Amino acid sequence: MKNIAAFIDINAGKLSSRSASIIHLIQGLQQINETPIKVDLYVFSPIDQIEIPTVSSVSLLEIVNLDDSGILSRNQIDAILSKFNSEGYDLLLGYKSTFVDSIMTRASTELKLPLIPQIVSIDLAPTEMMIKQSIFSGKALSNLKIGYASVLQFNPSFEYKSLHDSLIKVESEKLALPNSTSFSVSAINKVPQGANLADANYVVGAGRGLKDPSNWGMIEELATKLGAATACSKPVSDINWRPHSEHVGQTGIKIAPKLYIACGISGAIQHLAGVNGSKTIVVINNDPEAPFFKYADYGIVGDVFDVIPEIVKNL
Amino acid sequence: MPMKILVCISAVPDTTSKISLSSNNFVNLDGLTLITGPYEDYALSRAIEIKEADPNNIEIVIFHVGPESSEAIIRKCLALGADSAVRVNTKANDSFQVAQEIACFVKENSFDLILMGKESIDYNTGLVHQYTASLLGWNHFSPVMNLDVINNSTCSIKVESSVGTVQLSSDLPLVLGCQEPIAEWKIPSMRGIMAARAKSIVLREPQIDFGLAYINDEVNDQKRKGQMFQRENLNELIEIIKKEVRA
Repeated sequence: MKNIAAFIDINAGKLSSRSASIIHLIQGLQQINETPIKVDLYVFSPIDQIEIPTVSSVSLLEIVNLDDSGILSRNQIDAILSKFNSEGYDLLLGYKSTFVDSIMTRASTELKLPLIPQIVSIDLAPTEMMIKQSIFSGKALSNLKIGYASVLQFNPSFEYKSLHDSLIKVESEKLALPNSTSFSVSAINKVPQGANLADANYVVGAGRGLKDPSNWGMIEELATKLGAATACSKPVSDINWRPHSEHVGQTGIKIAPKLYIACGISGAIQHLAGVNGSKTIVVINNDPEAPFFKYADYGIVGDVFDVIPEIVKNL
Repeated sequence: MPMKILVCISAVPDTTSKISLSSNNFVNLDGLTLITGPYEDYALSRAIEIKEADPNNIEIVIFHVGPESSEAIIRKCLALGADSAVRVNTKANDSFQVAQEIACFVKENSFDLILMGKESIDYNTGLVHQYTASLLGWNHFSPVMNLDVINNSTCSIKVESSVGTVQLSSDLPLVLGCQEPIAEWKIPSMRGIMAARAKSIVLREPQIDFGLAYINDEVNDQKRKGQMFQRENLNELIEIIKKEVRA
């Protein structure tokens, strides 16, 4: 191992929890390695300085001049790759996102490093890593061993224990990309939340049991009280009660929060595929036969319009 | 010159399948119902709509990496309206291997547009389209929700990005990962099924070795607590929620 590049992201001014796990892993990597390893952290959002779990020889690089469209063009990825080449990274780490995917696949191809996606856990041995990958939407796991020269991409449920509790402040340098050239944008329709749902610690989801989009007030209230993100089932986004960016499931966003509260969602297998990374699942549904109860840690058979306001009142 | 579209499909177990292991400790697909990946169904459906608008100038080729057990779903793609198919006779082991097979084939046989799903629903990596674009040096977008081809030279695309949805145009050649609502899924007609019998599925030997050597798989039998509360005990559940949020 020579140099590490890691993609991290920021959630409300703080290091996201998925990125904290990546930095904990870097602590582990620095500990088992006899020679010092340089670490460059890359971030795509504006940040001057940030507190992170302590690692040594660390720099923070903020990638600037991103296109308003939120899409990286080929020539911009070229610029990032040429930086990677000059730094001589041989281990790349990152969370799952379209941005990171597009850089990691290029890096894997051009630096000739194998890319391991969907990692849920890692054990570090002196010359290789033992990796578990999530497959079949979390229904099974694959095991493989790989040398340290590689590109690792983590599933939202990946965790790695911190080796020491101390934090350090790092200040960012800017890495400016060229203007994007390979496409021309005619319209951008911005969605406010979306991006944070996959990394939220707490999520409140709701489904057709809510009966009408005007009833989402209490869901939002509950989410606000818990500091949670809001999610919805596929039927609800299909009939436009909620934006597509909130759709959690097989064909939507996959979440892995500490707590997921599902309100008026029956628990179709397609929905479960998107939420089975959750630590604790609470299900509220008036149908005692709802399949979701079989996959719940805690369940209550009750009317959402009665139970949710009661929870909100008592939190 | 007709425009050539390559649609890459995966053969995956139906979402509701229960996953079990075979005696060699890998996921056992024998006996499971295989389907075309749902996202690839969207990609193919859109390709067929594009062809229907200009049948003589568009050619659709299906590309699949997988064993003989996939032939039935390839035949269904032909029944839906694809012109021909190529099957690489090996197991799909990892994203890079599959992308290299695609890139190799595309370098030998020129194509203008490569469509696939935004991800396969078995290994969920969503990397094959990215890798393919990277190997070919083509532009790439995913997940694409809307696609129009203009003058067989430019694509007008609606794509989800990190900020929301973006309407853009980019010149061919392109690699696109597709998702709903790019097209409505199609059902093969009797005429399509009959016509498919005469269409060819070309067998191709693998050109690439597997990239990743897996040791084994395991079934993830995550146990949930399954504790139920009555309405009158709602307070106990509220206390648990409070504790979970403080932890």
